[in-house]
Amino acid sequence: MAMLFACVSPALGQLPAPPVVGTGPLQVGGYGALTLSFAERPEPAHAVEVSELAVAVLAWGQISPRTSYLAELDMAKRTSETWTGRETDRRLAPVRMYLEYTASDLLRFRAGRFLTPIGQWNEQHAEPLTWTPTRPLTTYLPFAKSLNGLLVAGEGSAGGHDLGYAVYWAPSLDLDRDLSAEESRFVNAFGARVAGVARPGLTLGLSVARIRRSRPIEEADTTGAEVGEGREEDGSGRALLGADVRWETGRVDLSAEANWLAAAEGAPYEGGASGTAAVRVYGPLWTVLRGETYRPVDGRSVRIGFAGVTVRTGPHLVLKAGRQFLHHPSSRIPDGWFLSFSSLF
Amino acid sequence: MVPVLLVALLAATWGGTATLATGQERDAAICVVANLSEPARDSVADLDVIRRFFLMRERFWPSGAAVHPVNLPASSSLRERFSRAALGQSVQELAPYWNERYFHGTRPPPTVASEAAVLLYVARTPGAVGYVERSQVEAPPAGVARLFCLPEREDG
Repeated sequence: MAMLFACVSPALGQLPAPPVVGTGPLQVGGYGALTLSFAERPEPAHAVEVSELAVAVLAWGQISPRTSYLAELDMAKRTSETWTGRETDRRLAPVRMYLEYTASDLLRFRAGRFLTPIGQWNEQHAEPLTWTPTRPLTTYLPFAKSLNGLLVAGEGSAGGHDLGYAVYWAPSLDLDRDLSAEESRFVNAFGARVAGVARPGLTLGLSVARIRRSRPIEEADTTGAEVGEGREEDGSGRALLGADVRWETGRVDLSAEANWLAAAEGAPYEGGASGTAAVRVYGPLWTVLRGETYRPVDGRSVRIGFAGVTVRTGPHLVLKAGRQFLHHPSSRIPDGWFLSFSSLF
Repeated sequence: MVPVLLVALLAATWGGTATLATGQERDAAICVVANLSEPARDSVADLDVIRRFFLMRERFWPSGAAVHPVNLPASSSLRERFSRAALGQSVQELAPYWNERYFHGTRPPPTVASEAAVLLYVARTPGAVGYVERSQVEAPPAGVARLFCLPEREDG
């Protein structure tokens, strides 16, 4: 059922909000992930912990030649992504659930719940597709991972270059109250993303949005900021600007993503930049380095590094191992070793 | 600053297409075929459009009819040659691309076992497009139109 994993990196890039191209009324797939961690900070671990156990089920299909749907149901227990202390137990949470009508290749209409098209990582976040067992803060902290609303998207070609766009609107429905209590979520949002393949293997993207966001309250104490009980909400809309680049060859996959959220009343500007380099060593073995800076976390900037390896063997198993370390320790970002197993099925 | 740098990078790199140039210099004998009922086939007899069809990035003919690309098995040498020449990547190199598309509900084009099966599928399926050796379509079978053949190898 799963696609074949190759020992090389793709060189075609992905465009915003890819369409569903079903070949029947119902197809089912998914992925699973198990991540183990042994952290030295914020609290020294005495044993290996399961920091993530997740299964996502995908269902999609074609209702008519131009109408399709896709649903992703996430069942997960996560202690952290890179953001420790925000435990999320999801018995069954819809990450995506939308209908899509395709008027033409250049014009598709999507309604429902879908991944926020900001940057490249968020729309390709499945563990078997990413290089590291932890996720950069930049790729999810400034915005909600999913939104409820409407989207218009399309793809085309100009001079042999593939281009894509997405424009989305999330009204103030607040349907996520119980779905993402520990994460950023949109009060409302309006934004757009464009991306294109400039040269074979080189994909560039820009994201802009006007968002009003709600997130868990950070309460400072003597040990640093901690997650409070309630949530705080932006008093007004804030501008978000993002940019991303990915360069892929058969042996190298370099990617970088930056997202910047403008200051608003009572809230300083927020954002960061992350870069990942994966270099194939031999066969399915890749060495991976990642660096990130983000602010504010615990009221200041943090710098996060990751060094490890990723092994993509056969169609069913991706193994990632490595160490995450912090330049400025935070009370909420784990500093330690990670080992993950994941698979598309 | 990062967005500005990226825009500059985009402007600096947005020239020329190398994807197909390499492919056009080899694999002379591969011909792209389509279902004869597709009325606009002559207007899209273009390798870039065929590339987008087989990557599932373009789903409709100019007439509005759905495109149905058909592949040979991954082990087929003709498929490997077509993949390199038309898509700019080997079959194996394309696998991660399809893994990412799978996450969004798209699988690669379906496969059939042989060139004869490609011709049969194309003949019977409106909107279908496939590829075969030139020798298979010197006289195309009923229901099949030969769109174009990949250029002769320049370096012999």
